[in-house]
Amino acid sequence: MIPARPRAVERAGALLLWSLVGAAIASPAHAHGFGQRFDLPIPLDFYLVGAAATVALSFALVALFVRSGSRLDAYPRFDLLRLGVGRLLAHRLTVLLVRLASVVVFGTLVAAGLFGVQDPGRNIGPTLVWIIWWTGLAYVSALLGDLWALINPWKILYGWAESAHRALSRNGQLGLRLPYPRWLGVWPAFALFLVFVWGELVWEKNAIPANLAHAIIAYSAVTWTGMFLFGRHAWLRGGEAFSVAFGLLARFSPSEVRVLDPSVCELCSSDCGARGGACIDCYECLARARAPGLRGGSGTREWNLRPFGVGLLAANAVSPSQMAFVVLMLATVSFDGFMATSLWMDLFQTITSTRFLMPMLHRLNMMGMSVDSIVNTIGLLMAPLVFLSVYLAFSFLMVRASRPREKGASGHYTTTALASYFVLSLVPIAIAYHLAHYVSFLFVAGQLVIPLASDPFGFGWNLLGTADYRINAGLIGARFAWYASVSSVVVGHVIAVYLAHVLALRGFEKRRSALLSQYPMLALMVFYTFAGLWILAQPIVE
Amino acid sequence: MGDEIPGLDSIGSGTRARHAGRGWMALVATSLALWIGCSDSAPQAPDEEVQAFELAIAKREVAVADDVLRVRQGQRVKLRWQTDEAATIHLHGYDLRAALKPGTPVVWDFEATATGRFPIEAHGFGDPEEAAPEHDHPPGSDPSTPHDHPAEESASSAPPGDTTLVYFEVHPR
Repeated sequence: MIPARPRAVERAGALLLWSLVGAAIASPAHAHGFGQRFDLPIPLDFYLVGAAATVALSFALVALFVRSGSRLDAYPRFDLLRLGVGRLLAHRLTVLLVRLASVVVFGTLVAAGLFGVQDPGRNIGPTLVWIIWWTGLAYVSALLGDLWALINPWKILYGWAESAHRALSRNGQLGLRLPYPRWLGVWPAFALFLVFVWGELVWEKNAIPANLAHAIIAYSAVTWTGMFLFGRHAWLRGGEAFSVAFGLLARFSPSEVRVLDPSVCELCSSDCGARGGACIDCYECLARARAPGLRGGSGTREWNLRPFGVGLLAANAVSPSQMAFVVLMLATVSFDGFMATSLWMDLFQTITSTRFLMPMLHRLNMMGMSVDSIVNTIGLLMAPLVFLSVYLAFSFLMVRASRPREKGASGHYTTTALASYFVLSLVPIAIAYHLAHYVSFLFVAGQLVIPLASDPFGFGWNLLGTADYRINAGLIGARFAWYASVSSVVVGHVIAVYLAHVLALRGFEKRRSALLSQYPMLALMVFYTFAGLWILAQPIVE
Repeated sequence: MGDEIPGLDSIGSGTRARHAGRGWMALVATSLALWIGCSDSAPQAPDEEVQAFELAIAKREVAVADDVLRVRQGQRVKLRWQTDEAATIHLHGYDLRAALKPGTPVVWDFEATATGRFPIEAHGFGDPEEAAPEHDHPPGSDPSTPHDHPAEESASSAPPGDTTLVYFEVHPR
């Protein structure tokens, strides 16, 4: 069932993709060099120690699990609402102020794109979108919590529109509120995310402020249409690519929101109540629990600190579309780094000189796509397919390894079921790689936002007095970046192995099956971590 | 059901696994300690030492081993440029630019303050108008505060005439 859908999705993606390209044609400046990276590759000894530690710690963990008991998924929590500062941060007024600020920034971003100077370094748009929001918010989501659920301007603005509509018309709700089809899963988000990643990695004019503004407007139209059709929360869960993506990263984070009152969840359009009574990180229920009409207020909800990674041990099933989304994220994050290696340069040469591809390349080239963007698009579409095939192959091995070897005994699990069940345990490796890959980029190129905040349009303003700030390229030294990268990759790997084992011990009836299933998974994880380390050890080639 | 394959049982055997675990832990600790030790005792280059490179562009290329110039952080660097064709050269990150003409050598003399891998590109080969630099650092000037300025590359368009001549790597001390 997996191979059939992405093709349809890709076709839809290609349509959207071409509409984005159309918006880009009129742009004057060239975006080459925006947010350039000057990372030194990690040296050989760092690479070897990272690799050795990965293998060694994997075996140590396996040994640990062989003797440890069950009940590994119960975790300690601390409710921040018990603290004064926690209540202050979660206060209605604080939340409103943060949301207002987010909407102001969003409006400024679009206005700067449409009316500001079209130089990526003097307009706040490209820095805000690519460095602060996309790279930086991924850090925040993974290391702190799901901030995007709070500051998502599309969600806020639509919510305000709903309130206004309720106040004015008095005849009920905004939108059609069609039931969101179950088979649709997160496929809309998958398609939109694929288009977005294409914009990030392939689109050569993605740093032109006007292009960004047009893309944002187009995406707003899609998002608000989706919300109008299916309701705000349903679309945020299935169609809003960034709520799905950041929400996925935030499952790793050390914070969660819980709604304690089961009667709230009965009204929820998702199946959050099915998580064994606990409603975790369901923002529809949270919004309802916050509503003034309902009894309670405090006491019906919690804002908890929790150990890293436990949110990935979701009790409810991961659907095949969610599994595909996770694999897409893993693949694109890795492809981003892989694109800058000399191995990709060689592959690039191979693709451009492949005889049967030449007519297609030529035709696309005549249509105005550069050879770079054609080949990178091919790579970007291939990466998730390669990742999915490898992952499904290893899932098949897991099924075989865990199956009791009796004559006539059939396995309880299909390959897709196991693949969906274990896919979240790979997320820490992708997060670790993302942290390692972007650490110097975020802290060096990200400094650009300091002068730009004072002069977002490039008109020569100095609103905050920071317009003359010069970037300090030495803020993050190479040695710090190396230690941070290798440590985070190794730690991410260890957490991933741990989570997979917990899932295995919980999911398989027989302890032996659980442990045997983990050998293919461990091999896959070691391989994936090695690939990440290898990319970090490659000099960046342009 | 689980006991039918006795050979595999040893994998799950507690004591053996425990010993193995301890052994690996010790190995990890040792290797980490060795690693940190080695890295910190890396040879330190004296700051006064000048790293000088003679760079001649011939047929739009510079003959340098591996296409990389390696220096250590804090060293003074002298790059002496010659060319057989007019072009603007640009060291990214440090943001040094110079207009090169055949027969007129240019020297960049600066301190390698920031670590990283910085491309040196040539813009506008063979196009005298393209080769005119936006702002030229005169030879011998010492821009000791390097800064990253992605905007400048993006403002000037990147036609196919752009080539990366060589990478300038500054390694930490």
